[in-house]
Amino acid sequence: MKPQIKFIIPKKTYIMKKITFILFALITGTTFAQNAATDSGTATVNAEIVSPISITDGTDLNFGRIIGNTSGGTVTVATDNERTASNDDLLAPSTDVQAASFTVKAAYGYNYKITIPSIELTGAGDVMPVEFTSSLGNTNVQGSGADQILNVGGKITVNSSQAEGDYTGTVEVTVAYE
Amino acid sequence: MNRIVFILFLLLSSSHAFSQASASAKVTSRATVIDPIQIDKTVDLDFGNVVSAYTPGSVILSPDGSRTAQGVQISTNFPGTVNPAEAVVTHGNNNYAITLPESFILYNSQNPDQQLSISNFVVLPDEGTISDVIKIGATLHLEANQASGFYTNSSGFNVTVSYN
Repeated sequence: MKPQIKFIIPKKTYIMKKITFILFALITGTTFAQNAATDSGTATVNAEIVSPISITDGTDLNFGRIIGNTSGGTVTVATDNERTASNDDLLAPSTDVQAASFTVKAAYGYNYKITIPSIELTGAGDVMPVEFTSSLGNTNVQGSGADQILNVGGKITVNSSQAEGDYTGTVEVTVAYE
Repeated sequence: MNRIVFILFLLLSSSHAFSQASASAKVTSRATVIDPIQIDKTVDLDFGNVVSAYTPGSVILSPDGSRTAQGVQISTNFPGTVNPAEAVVTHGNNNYAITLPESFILYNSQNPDQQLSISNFVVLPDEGTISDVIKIGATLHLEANQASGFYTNSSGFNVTVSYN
């Protein structure tokens, strides 16, 4: 007769007629070996289930209206939606400016990182490079188990005499447990 | 199933297995580039000939080029050169504001102590798709017994346009 041991497994219970367990428990370095005599015992199995990390898209990042003057420069939209420029002549008034927003949900107490690769906006004229900033930082961001709002600002480089027109690009934000 | 072999690896203290360890989302980034606003003068402001009087008076030059005299006389036979100022504003179909001076001083070309003041600048835009022609009139103020002569100010007056 095969030796039998009994397990209590939280959340799921397996009831079967004939079960052979070969258990590698690396908790303390102890191995449960096959006993010579018939015996039974109990052991508690601990498993921690971490909820998957998730991110959902919200609003777009909008740099608004920019005047393509001869000097060019950079226009920055901060994560709090405030717009500034290296050269104020770049900023056309009466325009909608907005940082992008996302919703991240990560397990409580678990750290994750936020990756936002730089892109280029394309349109009628020369491409305009964009770098991004995260309102939650980029590394060692602590999950709360609840929804966390992630705002993404950006800095766009406007070329000298940038051609008139609409320019667009896609911002991809990746969150990953560290 | 009669025989099931379970192999359990419990790696409790060393590392955690995540069912989904990363996720990503995408949004659009956009910017709208517009050309700088531009203003180019095409015609200077010219009040033409005015006959001075023993009392103060004024001449109103409308943006459409018509003149109205108050307290002084203007000759219909010898009006001289009469032009409202004219400029072309290139705006690329964006809204803009026009800033005109409060007042401006003209000096007698023979005697700079003799001055004329201009105020009440008025603008009339002739709107186009990407550019407007703006015409600017104003009111010329004469003092009593204003000395005759040619009055001008070569520095010109400023008209500022800006996007709004």
